[in-house]
Amino acid sequence: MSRSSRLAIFSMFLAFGLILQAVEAIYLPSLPIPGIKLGLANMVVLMMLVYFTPLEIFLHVIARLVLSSLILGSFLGPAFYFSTGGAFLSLIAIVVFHKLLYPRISLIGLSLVGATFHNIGQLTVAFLLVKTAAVYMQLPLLLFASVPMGLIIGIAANYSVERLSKTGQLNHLTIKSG
Amino acid sequence: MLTKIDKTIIVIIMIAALVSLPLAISASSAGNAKKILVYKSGKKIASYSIEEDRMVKVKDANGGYCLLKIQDSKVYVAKSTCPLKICQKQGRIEKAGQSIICAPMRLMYQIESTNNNSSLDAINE
Repeated sequence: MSRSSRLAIFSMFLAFGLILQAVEAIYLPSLPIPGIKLGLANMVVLMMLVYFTPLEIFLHVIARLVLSSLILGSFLGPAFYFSTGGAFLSLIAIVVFHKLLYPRISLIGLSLVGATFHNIGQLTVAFLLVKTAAVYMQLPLLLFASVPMGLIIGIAANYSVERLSKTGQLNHLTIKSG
Repeated sequence: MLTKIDKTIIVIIMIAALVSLPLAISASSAGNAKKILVYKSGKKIASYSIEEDRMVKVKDANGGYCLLKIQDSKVYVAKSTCPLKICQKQGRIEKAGQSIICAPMRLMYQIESTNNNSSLDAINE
């Protein structure tokens, strides 16, 4: 499989992630509790686990964070640091769990792990920025919220991957271990 | 669709949320240990924790005094020898940044939070 076709599909996934992130920020009503959100873009990360290497997913996340914050106008603002911290911690956790447990853990489980660690990372960055332990007061709430949110995203990612593999369009990408 | 490990993860997250509840509450109050600072003519002359009840008599140069009372994490002026007693009428203060000022005696009492960024109410995403 050629490098350029891989690059094209990588870019497609990046565009997909950017659209989801923008749609979520613009159209989904924000909940009264700050920090709780669906995390639609994480769906793309989960789908990419099936087709791409961890390094490629890492690059995807960096590109998505920078580009989406430029689109939404939050670049280098506090929200940017929160989501960066959350996104990286969540990605690391997802990749580790995927490596260790994958066939036994489904995309839904990985989504839950991602959601949880996203919240932890986000609060840790908030703690470093504000230097008040009070930010951790939100942790229990965010942990509870990460279960339904993680389930929704995980199930969506699961369906998407199922459909994608049925079309057979991306099967040539599937990495050896998968 | 959910595997056994998925279900275990859900349970673990729920337990973690429950366990972190008391921890989070204690962390938030620990970060809020407040002090009352006493300024005289703009210079800080003393500070006391507002967590323990006490009375402080702050004297001025002319023999007058101002009796500061700390009670239930709130601070107020119980008695003052100044003419208008405005400091007494300012009531109780308890939040970081709040202050009581007694102009004739050139005294100011201000509550300080141990963290430096207490002026941030919230960060908007």
